[in-house]
Amino acid sequence: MSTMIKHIYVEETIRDHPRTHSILKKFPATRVIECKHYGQIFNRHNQSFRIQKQQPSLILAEKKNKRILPVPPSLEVNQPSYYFSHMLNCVYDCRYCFLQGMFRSAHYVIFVNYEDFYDDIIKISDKNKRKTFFFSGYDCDSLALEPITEFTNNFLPLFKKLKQSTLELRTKSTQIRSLLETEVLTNIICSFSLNPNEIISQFEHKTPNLESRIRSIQKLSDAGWTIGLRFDPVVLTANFKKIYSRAFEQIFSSVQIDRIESITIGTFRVSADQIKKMLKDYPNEWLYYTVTPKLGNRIGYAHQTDKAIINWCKEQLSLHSESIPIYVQE
Amino acid sequence: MANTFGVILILALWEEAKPLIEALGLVKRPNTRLDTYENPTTILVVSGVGFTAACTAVGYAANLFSDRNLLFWLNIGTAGHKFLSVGTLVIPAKIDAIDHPPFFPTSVFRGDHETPELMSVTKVCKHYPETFCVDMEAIGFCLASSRFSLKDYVHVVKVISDNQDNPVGVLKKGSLGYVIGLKLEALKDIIEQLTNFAKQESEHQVKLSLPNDLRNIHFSETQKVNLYRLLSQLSILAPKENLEYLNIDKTNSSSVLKSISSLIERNLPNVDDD
Repeated sequence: MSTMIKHIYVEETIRDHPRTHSILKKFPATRVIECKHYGQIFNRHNQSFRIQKQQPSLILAEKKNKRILPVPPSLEVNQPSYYFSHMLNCVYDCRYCFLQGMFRSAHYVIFVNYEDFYDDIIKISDKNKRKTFFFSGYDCDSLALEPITEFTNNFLPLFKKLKQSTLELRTKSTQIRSLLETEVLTNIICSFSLNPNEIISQFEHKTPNLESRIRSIQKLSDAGWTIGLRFDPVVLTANFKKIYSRAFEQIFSSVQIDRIESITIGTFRVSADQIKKMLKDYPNEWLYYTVTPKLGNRIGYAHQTDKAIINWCKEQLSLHSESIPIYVQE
Repeated sequence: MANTFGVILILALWEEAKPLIEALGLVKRPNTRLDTYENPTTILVVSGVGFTAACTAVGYAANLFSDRNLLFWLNIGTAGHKFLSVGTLVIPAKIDAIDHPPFFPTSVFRGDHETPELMSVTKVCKHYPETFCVDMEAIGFCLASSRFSLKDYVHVVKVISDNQDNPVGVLKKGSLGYVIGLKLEALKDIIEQLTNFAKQESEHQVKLSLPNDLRNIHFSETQKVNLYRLLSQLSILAPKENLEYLNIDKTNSSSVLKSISSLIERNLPNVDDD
């Protein structure tokens, strides 16, 4: 990784933050450039996500506000739910990912002020006075840059104390060493995004293949960690049923069913604004032409198609995992 | 049909430009307000010294290449640095100035180049800063050229011409051309890399042309937009369809759009397709 990063931009105010020093130590040969605010690079107009994705830089910054956000009520999991991102952007390059339609820049932003995140999480947990659900991995992959961010090493001790709260780590990564070296916590869910290899090779560039992800799930569940399985997005392609039923078979014949907390499914969907930007960056991407405008500025598969995909997936998944709750993301 | 592109090189002084003009085989464009040299893909404009001159040259060059869809920019020149030795080639990672917002070029060049920050100053700098390079044009160049192009298309490369041991005050006539000459091969390589990058970018967004047999049908402007969108969708979903000879109802514009929509519908993936 260190050889891939040519430049590291650092906000002046966190130049002497201990976490800044510890991250910079991992890149001894990389040029460090100071900036006033990460937005000077990340949020500027008229730049190309696609070009920057070929050689992203790293930006170390401070997240000053809006660190922990409530999820929309429709996505709550029977308890107050929140999400947060210690990072913006992802090392992977998934063609369906909304990040490429949402951010102007493909550089990786790491917010080094973890302690402020801790304070906010504690405040929210205390305020709710009941089980509270947090998930990370919305604006980034929770684990993919673990050797640099040390996210789990830092955040898991907090959740060890917050027993009434749950943290879901969403990932496609096989960077699980730190989890395997940590005491198992029952209020942590390691949630893996999965797809058939045919979809991974076509649309999930630079990600581990299905077998590698399954191996990570096996290691974590053997160690006692709770697992979540996410089939989101399910992508409609030729031989859809054949490739997905084969993948489901492969997954459920390899993982410990009793360690799986839940299964989530959702189809490929983005907002109209996001797909406009994605089409500009990848005008020949087949995937973007298989979806249509829907109500409320949304783009996705036609209603009947969407329903058919979800119903079929639920039916197939139930065959393998009758007792596991299945959630549908819309 | 690919986009057209142009590569624009801006240099402050004739003395700096001369070695490159010769090495690239550029030809003088007649009757121009600013000295301009060119080949089919590239123009080189000699801007003069300073912020205003750089901005003016950028606007001037953009106008000369107004027939090109995409413009790619490179400011080549000389700079001072306290410690870097004369003849060192630098690709600054940040270009700053006292009175202007900084500019952060996107890293696109291969090679192990020095990437110090560059400060654009308004007067010749006799006391070198500890870590920055100094020049007089880069910030004006960057801020002006990024009005015409993506910021990722704007780049700066400098060759160190003076330092604390060889200060700017004692530079001899011809020494700026001499240091550019020292790095001529490296500069040519960077220009070639930029040109290849420009070519790739121009081919990235391919424009569809209207199939011949649809040219005699009148489409409203809204319908045209819709038609191009549907043709793009069809060309991606069904790459084997020959857009020139689409088997569709060509009675009128509405029937064309309806037929293409049906063709697309038939080519969408289906849950039950196996």
